[in-house]
Amino acid sequence: MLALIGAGAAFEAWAYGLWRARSPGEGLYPFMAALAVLVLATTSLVQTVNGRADATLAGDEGDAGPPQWRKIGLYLAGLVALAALLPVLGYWIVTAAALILILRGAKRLSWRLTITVTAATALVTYLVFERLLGLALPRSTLF
Amino acid sequence: MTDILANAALGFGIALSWNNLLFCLIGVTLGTAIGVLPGLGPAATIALLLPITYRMDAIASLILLAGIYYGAMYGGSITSILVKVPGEGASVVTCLDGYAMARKGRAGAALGLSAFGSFIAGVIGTIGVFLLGPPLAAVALAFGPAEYAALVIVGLVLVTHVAQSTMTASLLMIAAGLLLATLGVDPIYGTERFTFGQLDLFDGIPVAILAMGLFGVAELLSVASSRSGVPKPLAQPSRVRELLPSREEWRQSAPAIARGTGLGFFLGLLPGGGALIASFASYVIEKRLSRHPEQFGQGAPAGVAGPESANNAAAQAAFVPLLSLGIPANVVMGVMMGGLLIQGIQPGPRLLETRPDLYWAVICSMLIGNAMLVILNVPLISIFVQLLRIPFAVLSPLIIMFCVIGAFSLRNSAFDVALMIAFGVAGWAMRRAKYDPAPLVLAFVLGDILERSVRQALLVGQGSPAIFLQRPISAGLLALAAALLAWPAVRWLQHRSRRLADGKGGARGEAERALGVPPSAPPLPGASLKHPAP
Repeated sequence: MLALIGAGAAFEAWAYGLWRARSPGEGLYPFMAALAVLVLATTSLVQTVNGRADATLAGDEGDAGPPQWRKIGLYLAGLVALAALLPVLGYWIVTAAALILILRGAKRLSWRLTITVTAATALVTYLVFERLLGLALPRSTLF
Repeated sequence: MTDILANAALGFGIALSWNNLLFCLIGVTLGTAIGVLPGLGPAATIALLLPITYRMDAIASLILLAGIYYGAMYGGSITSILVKVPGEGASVVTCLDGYAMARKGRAGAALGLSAFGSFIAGVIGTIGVFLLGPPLAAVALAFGPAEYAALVIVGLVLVTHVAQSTMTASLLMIAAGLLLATLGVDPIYGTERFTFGQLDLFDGIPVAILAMGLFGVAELLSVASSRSGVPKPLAQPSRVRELLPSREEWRQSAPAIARGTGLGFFLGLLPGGGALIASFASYVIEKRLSRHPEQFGQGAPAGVAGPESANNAAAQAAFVPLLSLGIPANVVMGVMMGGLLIQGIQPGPRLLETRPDLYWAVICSMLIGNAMLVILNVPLISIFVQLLRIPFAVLSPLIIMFCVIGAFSLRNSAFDVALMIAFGVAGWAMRRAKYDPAPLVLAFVLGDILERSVRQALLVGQGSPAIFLQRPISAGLLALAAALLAWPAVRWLQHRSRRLADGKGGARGEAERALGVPPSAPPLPGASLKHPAP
């Protein structure tokens, strides 16, 4: 994936122009970075295929074993819906929906705990961001 | 000596007034809170408060704003340690060992080392500013675009030593970070690059979005995707004594604090990414000097104390170029400079002559502010540690919502929230593929500085790259970068030749242990890297 991104970025950067009037053009620096990504990603892929890149990443105890795709799917669905609906429905509705989806759907918490956490989150964020810091949380554009 | 005492008397006489003490307290408290909350940064907060400072006395306003800045350095480490969400760019390195210490039940010790290390560095840094500030500021003038480019290249090489994956993976992440940094508007010609017509990308990607996504959201997805859905249980200390660093942890950290302070102070004098470079340069140095480098990344106290000291010392030193030369060291200083100009005060070489009261009062207030911060933060350690007792199923949605609000509040844009989530998914995928995101974030921050400096240097040199070798400081730094890059290969060749000479076959690791070589000697690209269990 990174190799493809590097190749695409290098192609795009080439179009920006690499050199102009005795100085680097807009595309030189991103072209070099994209080329480095392409080469290194390809090298890394080859090493992985050959079984040589088997580093252990510190602190990755959460990654042990195959991923729980259902949980990830619900988590991501909640987050994607949150980002997409935030400007439409506003912070309060979207937060409640996302938290219910994650806590009840993905984490299988009881309704009592789900509602308690959702309400507490709403209260804390309101107090900290709107009252204390004066930041306006996203409002709905519909109502 | 008499001058120093007179300046100190002038400065403290003003800084210790009730009015200025109050604003100092407000500043450091607000700064700590800002540092804790992901997304919000001191630059945005200071910009929001600038209109309030119009009606204030110039000294009080600068004391308030300065307190927010170095207070944020304290606060940024708290979330790095507790939940692996860096509050500031300079706190990214603290995530590596600070979070690992928290996982081992040493969250209080990590927070304590961070607070006390920052305090010691802040005090020494402020004294350094007091005594050496104006003369050392002249050194910063010797740094031009070529020197900055070379310094950033040294920084990028050091990043490879911070990473906890293979050399190839580290370099790939660095290249990806440099590429991401080009997204937005070209700094010289103003052309759009990789924006594809998206208005929200014209200003590039905010580093807070990248860091929150790759660290915070990715960590939550990683834990959520595991079979148990919760991180491994933390051993929670029960006694107050266990909440603070032990004698052994202090012993390991004291030299790191001293070295980090010196390094951070010097790098903080340089306009640019001084605090960021200082924090991970300190990390790399401590790892290199440690007798147990394999413990870095697994919860080494020096891995927290050194970088935190470095970034706080750099925060103090950053005031020197602003006040003495009129050159803002970073975005935050730039906003503060705007505030000073609005008040009719011109920072620069003449400030000491025209407004010695302002100059010395601000310096002295930094000593007072650092004392306030440690008094505020240390008693709160036990409360912060209790946060870890909250079930992760409850804590994780709270972290997500805080990240969402933090992301939204940057530019009032839902696009930034979507971007953060996308980076979160990318970060989760990177973790599963054994790619460390830290080099990507660090390279991203340095990438913009590098590109500007390289292109400005080439403009000065009329297109000839020889300028980088013609200027002595630049040439020296590039030589240092080359040496740092070549060093692992040289050591590998030495070990290999010794192994062949001894005629002992077997795994590389066995040969290293037989020769007494630290197992953390970086391998060549492609070689495996497994840290033995501490």
